[in-house]
Amino acid sequence: MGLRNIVGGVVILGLTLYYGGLATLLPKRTTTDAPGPHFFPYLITVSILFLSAMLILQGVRGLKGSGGLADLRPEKPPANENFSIARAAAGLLLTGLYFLALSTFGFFWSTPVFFAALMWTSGERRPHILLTLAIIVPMFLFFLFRDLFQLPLPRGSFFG
Amino acid sequence: MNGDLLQGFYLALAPTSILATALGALHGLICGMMPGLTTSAGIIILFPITFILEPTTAVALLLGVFAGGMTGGSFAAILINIPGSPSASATTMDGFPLTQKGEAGRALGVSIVSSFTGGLFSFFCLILIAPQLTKVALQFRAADLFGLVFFGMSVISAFAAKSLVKGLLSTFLGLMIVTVGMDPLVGTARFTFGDANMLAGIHFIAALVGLFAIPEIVANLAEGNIRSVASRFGRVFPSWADIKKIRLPVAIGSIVGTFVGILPGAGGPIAVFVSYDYAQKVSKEPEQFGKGCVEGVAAPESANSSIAGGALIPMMTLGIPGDPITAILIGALLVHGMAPGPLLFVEQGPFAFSVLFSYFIAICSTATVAFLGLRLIVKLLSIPRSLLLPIIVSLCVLGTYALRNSFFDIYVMFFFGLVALSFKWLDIPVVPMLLALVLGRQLEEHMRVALASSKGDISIFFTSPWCLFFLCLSVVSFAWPFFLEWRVKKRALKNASASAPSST
Repeated sequence: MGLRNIVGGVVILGLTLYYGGLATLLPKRTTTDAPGPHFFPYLITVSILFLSAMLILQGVRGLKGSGGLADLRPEKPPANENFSIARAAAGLLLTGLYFLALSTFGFFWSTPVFFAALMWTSGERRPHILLTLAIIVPMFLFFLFRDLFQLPLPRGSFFG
Repeated sequence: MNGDLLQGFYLALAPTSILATALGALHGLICGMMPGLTTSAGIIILFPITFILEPTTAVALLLGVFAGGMTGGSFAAILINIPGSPSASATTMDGFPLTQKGEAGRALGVSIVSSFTGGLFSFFCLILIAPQLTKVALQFRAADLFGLVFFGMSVISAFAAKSLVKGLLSTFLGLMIVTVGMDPLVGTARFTFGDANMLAGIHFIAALVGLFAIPEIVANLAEGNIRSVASRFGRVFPSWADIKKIRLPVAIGSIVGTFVGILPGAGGPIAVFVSYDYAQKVSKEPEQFGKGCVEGVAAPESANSSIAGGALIPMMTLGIPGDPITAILIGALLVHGMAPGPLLFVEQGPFAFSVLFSYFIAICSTATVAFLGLRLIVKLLSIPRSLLLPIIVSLCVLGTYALRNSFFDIYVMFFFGLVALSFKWLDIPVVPMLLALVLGRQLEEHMRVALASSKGDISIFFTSPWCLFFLCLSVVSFAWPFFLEWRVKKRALKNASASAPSST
């Protein structure tokens, strides 16, 4: 955890410095005696700077016991041979792509493709099951939410 | 107040509310039972549906999920030795051995009865304490409210993480995000980068869905498609002999669970293990614990269920969520224009009391649905994750988009999913951030109003008795983990020095 704490601490420190820099551009005083809009962000900046420095310090102290660069790898849960970080990364990537595709293709067209891709990634290899469910379930959700619940669904810029 | 109480009772008894609670309980039982799905995820999944419902019905539905989820967590723990939720961990210790002995039905029956009793006890505490606490909370001024919110955050920061630094970092990063958008007092745009979407700030429901749903999806993908086979079980309703046996463990679990539930951030796992430990200590046959005894199922299950009622006390009376689920419930209430807190009992009395009574109906519905539909619900354990995961993602999209009809919220959800994954890697808890997202604006507003009223004099926070009281409690909560660590080290040193001469 030592190296992780250092990496995390440095990233948070950098982010906070940027945030603090932006906070200096905010108006300082209002008409009343109340502190202005800059006050709370200043407090947050100072607190996080202190805490991230503490995190880095904890990391440096914990470096001795950590396993070098191997410390940066995610931990594998015990007793699960099925565990795959690649599958999780692929799923996350697919989810991100799906969210991006929504604004172009809309819920109706992009969801079946996402369903099929994610089902395949999570281990479903039977084509008839995969295709049937990837079409039926999103269609069911689409009509359920649009017609029964009358909720707005994401519409694409190219396909509605 | 009495008129509001009666009206609240009638509102909760409306057929639509009862139906919503029963459906919510069924959904909660399923979500709580499925390993990889949690009660929080169950509530998030149902979120889009609540937009089309009346506030009373919407809250009844979500409370049903809350109560159902608490009970459902034990089903998987008993049947397949995988707790459906962290709070059901202690149930595996005696629940699964009972299943191995061929007494799964007995264990499930005891679990349902204990959950029901624990929930009922916490409901009575809720209905007795909530109105009294509201009267006290109505006297709070800005400085006191600041102290109260600060206390809520400090407790979560101190207890939700192994390291206080990480807990506090999570809280302050949440506060940082809260400052995006319009300043709550004078309306100055802060950190918006000229983007119109950012002016309204980060919608905390979008953030919350990302913080909880995305890591669960990723974790489930990493663990693979585990098919769980439900085992067979006989008679479910507990015998009279079993009911007599579990009286004391249930009483212990109910008291411990309700008390721990009231404390923000104390967490379900603490309550269930403490009550298991106490039940073992007072048992006539402590050696049977861990080998499959009904008392070992009853104590943690009653604690697990009573946490819900306990957590509703600070949520409803002070607007302080005790755990992630009550934080989500606050979000649901805010979406419907109802802000939990003492003023809710004054301005929307019937509604506030309907929430309390809906919790009672949720407990009853959970027990009824669990007994009647147990065999069917348990069959769902064999649904493959490959189908569940895309459904959850789609429902998250639908719920988040429906907040403001904006793709921006979907991107925010994904961003917070990545934040939660980074936090997991760094061993930083997300719950303090969630609480900061829910309460951050209030914290800033109360602090600045208090300072404005004192013309910038910070002594207002130390001269107001209530504020000083909450600040002292915050100091205690910060010091408590250090005290515990010191005590453990001292005990270890003492044990080491005691065993040293015998080993030489």
